[in-house]
Amino acid sequence: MKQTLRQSMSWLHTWGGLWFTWILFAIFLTGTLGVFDDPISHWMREQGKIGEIAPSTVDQRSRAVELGQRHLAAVSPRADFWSIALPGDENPNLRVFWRADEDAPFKQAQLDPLTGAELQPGASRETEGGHHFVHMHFEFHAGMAGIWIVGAATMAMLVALVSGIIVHKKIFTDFFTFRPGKGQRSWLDGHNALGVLTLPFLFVISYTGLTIFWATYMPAGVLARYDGSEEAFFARLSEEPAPRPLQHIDAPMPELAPLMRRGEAAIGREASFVVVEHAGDRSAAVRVFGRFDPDAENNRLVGRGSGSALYDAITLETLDVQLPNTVRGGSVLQTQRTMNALHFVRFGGYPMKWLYFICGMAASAMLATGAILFMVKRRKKSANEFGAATARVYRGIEVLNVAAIAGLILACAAYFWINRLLPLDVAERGTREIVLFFAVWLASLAHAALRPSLAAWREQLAACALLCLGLPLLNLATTGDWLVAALARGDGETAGVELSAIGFGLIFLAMLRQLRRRAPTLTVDRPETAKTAAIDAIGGR
Amino acid sequence: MDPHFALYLVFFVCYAGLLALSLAMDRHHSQIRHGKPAPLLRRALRLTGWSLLALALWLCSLAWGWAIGPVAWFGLLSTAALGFVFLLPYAPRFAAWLAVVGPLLALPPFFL
Repeated sequence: MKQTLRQSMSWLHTWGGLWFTWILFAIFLTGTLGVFDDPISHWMREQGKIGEIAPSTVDQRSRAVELGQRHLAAVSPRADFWSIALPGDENPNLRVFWRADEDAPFKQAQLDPLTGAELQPGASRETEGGHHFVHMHFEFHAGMAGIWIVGAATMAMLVALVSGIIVHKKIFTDFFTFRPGKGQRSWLDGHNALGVLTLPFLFVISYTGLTIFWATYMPAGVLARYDGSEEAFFARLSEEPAPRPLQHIDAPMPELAPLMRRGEAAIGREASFVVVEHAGDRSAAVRVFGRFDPDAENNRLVGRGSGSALYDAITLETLDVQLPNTVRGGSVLQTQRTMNALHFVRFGGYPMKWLYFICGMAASAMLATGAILFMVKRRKKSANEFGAATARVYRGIEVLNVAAIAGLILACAAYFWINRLLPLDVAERGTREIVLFFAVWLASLAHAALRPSLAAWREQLAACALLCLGLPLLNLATTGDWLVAALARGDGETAGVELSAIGFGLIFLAMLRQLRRRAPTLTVDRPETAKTAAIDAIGGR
Repeated sequence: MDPHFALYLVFFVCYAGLLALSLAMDRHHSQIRHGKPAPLLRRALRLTGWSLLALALWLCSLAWGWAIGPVAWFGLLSTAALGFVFLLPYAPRFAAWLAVVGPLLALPPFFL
């Protein structure tokens, strides 16, 4: 069969888009929420109540490093990796992380920064906070497998963008066109307008998303020249000292606090992390990382680094100093870092974050309308793509649409509720929150599979609206903190989270109203729903 | 220029530019005013529209520099367009007046 370019692109856009849209919606929605990961973490850890944390002095930081080192030396004297995270705005506790050898899992403990005593679960609201959304966004909490899934979906996104532009018949004539209240026409208009108007954002965010993991997605060069060691490749590229292999000779660790002071002096920044590789071995090295300063050189795009200093742990010799806001590695790495910066919005502060947030939400809505449009078209008239199985496949797509769109929104909103309702003294609380997030998502899938599709949409959207609008009340009931108090103390992060929740709640209410108004015509369009509605009405279910 | 003020100002410059470009099209001209635009008016509207979008880019460079300015410009262009396109069918007259009312609302702080 001979086809025109537009016809074949239309096929590609429809089916390529459909099979990836559910994953892509999850990537875009959680990525968009992840733009505000810090304010979300701030809300989840109730930091509004603690108020501003006073900047620490160098003596306090030295003392914290001493306490951290003492803890690490006791739990894992010979380790592949130690890390001491100094208290800061993000977390007022002293945290230590370690890994006994390369294959062992990472472990962590939270310590009191003044006494070094290990904090028991329940002492604070332990949570992954907004980082959960960021990890969902790039790896679905599935490690390397997740990174590859996200990469494949992002490629599909770029294919869908290009094919979508080719398929769009009147990109300029329809540039400003949205005709509401016209069924399928309106869904198509909405999908087109959301996509076309955010096109620059869509291309940039998808392409830069891929280039972040370029060394993972395109490993051939590193495999051929560096035996597959990314570490060795990057050390060479960014003119850093070569990796130091384990020597298997015991060597006592020096005091880390003086090295931290040296590091701070060398890079001119307050330290945020002190990391030791191969602790207790003759090859041990200590790296002092500076704290990221969001306001320093805010108007530059590339290389907004925090700086770091590297020391030989045995001879105490300085191995390397990388100053803040500098990039090494030549134009290749600078280009790549610029793209990273474009993806992470590490510049321009809140105004830029809001622009990315709005564009990201529009992109999510574009994906959702695309998935819904697929079914709206076929509810009217089956295209019979799957022969006798068509009705069953359509039903499956409809169920996945509900669960992937409304269900994911529901799970995201529920995550905030879980954070407030889960008891504080649960072990591994942060992980438990995420497990419950997935449980809610799975429940939404079961619900979508059991209910007629229109009812499933309506009920899940109603639940989303309820959770969003109720969030400020929940916070008041569980922590005694509320919107007015947050606004009064000028805590824009807490207030921002709750006001946004109310905003989204109102949007979901508007959608529900629209669904109710459209329901009679929908049932005419859809004999199947009319039948189930009739069964509902006579109490058959 | 203060970035928050720039955000507000450039949003409305983009908005006005897009409004002018849409008024140059028959479909939207009849939505907001009546009938089709005369050829001369159409040309004037196009010129105004593109000039305003260029002005917006220049304002962005003043507020954020040439590294981040274009990023801000694209972002504001998208958000202004989204606002305009999804407001237009529900309140066409208001969507047009917003291009005037919006910037005026920014004035009072200057006289306080």
